[in-house]
Amino acid sequence: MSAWTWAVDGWIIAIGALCALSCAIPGAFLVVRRTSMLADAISHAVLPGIAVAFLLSGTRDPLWMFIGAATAGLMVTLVSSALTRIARIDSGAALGLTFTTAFALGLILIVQVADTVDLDPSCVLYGAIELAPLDSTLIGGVELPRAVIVLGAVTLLNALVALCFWKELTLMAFDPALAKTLGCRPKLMESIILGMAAATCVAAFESVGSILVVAMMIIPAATGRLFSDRLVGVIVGAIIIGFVGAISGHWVATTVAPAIIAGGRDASSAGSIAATLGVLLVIAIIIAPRRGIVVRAIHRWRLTLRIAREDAIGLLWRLEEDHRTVAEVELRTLLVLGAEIPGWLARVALIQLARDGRVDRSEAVVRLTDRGRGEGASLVRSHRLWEIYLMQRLALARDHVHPTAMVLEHITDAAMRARLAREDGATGDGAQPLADPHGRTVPAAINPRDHSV
Amino acid sequence: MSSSIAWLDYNTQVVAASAALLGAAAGLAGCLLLLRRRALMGDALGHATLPGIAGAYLVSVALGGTGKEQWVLLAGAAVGALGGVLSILVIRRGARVSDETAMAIVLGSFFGFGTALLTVIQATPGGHQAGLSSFILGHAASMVASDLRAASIVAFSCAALVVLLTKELRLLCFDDAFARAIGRPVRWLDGVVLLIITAVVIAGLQAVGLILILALLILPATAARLCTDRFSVMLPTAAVMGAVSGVGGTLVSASAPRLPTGPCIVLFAAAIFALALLFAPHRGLIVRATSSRVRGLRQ
Repeated sequence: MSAWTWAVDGWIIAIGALCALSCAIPGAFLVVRRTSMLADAISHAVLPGIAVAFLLSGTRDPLWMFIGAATAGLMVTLVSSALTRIARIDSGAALGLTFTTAFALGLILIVQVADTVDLDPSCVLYGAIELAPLDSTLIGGVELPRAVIVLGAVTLLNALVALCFWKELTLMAFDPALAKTLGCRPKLMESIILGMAAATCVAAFESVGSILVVAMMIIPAATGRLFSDRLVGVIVGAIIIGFVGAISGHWVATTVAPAIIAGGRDASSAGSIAATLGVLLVIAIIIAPRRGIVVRAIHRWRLTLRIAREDAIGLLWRLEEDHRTVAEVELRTLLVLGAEIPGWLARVALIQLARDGRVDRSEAVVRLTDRGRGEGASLVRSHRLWEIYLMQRLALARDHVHPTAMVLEHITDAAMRARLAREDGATGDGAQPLADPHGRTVPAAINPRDHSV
Repeated sequence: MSSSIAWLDYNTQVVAASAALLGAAAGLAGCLLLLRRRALMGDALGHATLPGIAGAYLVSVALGGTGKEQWVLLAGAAVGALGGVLSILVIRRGARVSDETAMAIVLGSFFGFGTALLTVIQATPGGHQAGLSSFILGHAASMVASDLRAASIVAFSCAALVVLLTKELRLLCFDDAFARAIGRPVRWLDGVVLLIITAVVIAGLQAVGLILILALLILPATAARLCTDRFSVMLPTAAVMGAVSGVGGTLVSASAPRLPTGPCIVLFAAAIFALALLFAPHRGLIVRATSSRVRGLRQ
């Protein structure tokens, strides 16, 4: 509720951002390799790891905890992949049963030592990012939270490993079979990715909790995937999304949550950051530049409009061929019946055609302009050339070729028309016009490029 | 002497009976999950219940209730789980990611949202006593006769659904493309499977908690899969293994202090799985090791 103080909130955000930074590289590989739940498994395996480490060492020394957790994380991944390989158990099931069994074991062990030491299972799950800035050590005269040091070290390690094996790791991520043929040792690379993921999970769980590690590793990388097809792009995108998530998540926890829910206490920052990351992903799904829902909807809408416009021009050209003229209302009715276009769409298409100077609707009847007539001829030419082709080459029945040609005419350019004309047996000079299966003449090529190829 | 007291103890009987029914239902449901290759869906669903539970508490308190009514919290859990399933489907299509990634995304963000709500609730008056966090790791010792009734309803309705739809489910599990081709409503059947899983997850919240429910779903099913290749044998085998784990785990946990019931049930199931892994008739490690050695000798 209180205003942010940089000594506390600044460090919390810095720790969240560092967590995003360290998670981005292994996260991108896990998402691309489609093994995202591995992060979940490793982060749950942390619990038995620290319990066993405590039982063996008798201390809560962070180093022992780190070793125990890392060992447990690696053991879980190794055992589950061994189960998949040896006993042919489905990989998801093998992973799930290994880490839950380990987690159950960890719970029992922790209850056994609960009297002598304060190991709280829920602390492992939620983390304590709010308390992380308090646990600080002096490094070179500067007081730094331990979480910052640990996460910074893991980030450097990940970056170093990624730089050293960049080519091999990329190849492995996208095409393991090719990687093997080229001698890139995919098994070793797989282990390197696993090692990075395990080290990052273990380093991050203490400050941000195991569930936020899953969220930080997978969600930003999946979001970055929406913005880029390149691995570097995914990683950079993941880092940016992770930063934004850390800042806005902490803001939600400290400012929005107390304002909404009566009682007025800050929500857990780690939990809020994880939830915010999910919201950011949903926003990205909606507005991403090429794969977003909005962009895809706009593309679809433009395509629909273009097809409606082309259908209208084609229809006008055919009416002109029969020396008929129609009023706009009649034309719309014909479009609705013939091309199955909704009435309002036909109206919009005609307005656009008039605006672009393809159609003249200033008089009682709608007429093509010269420009519109040329395009109509090309469209009808495509249509009739396709009808001939479909009958001659694919032996389709005469009454079956029209619907297919209706679709294909919209994706046929001048070069393909020229090719089709030759396949259909047109003479080079166009002296003998072709006739379509229904006895209509194929309009002559107007577009000069129709003669090329 | 102490074990005979545990046998007679009414509470232990209630917990053991509930755990047995729950284990059987989870075994049945787990077979479907395993054969549909969606084992980890159980985990995503389990974690997704948390914001539902916390939300239900907040709504109940806002409407003047105590927030402790079990059925309100469980209804919230069901809403959370179904929201999780829908989100997985939406994210998988919208973000074009794999099943696993969509599950991890939903698991992380839903559980994060749930913990954020929990921290706020625990600061409100009465929030700390509501015991919402006991759903995370389970709290079998607090189970009473009404929980036994709930567990039996879930178990019997799951069993009834599975028996009624055996033929369709078998087709769905082994060849969904063929099922679709011959006009079976594959989407609806998948929906039924997810509904069964959700029911089991909700029923298991109290006994084993939302993290370990995954183990109860897939350990018996995987063990049964090792023992047989037949769907009609696998289902009852998994149910029996689940029930035995439920009873066995409860008795082990009652036999000594400081053994939480949920983890004991899971470890019992893991022990059964380990036995199946070693001794299963055709796919067990021992049989496979010896038969490959025999083959080696013959060459």
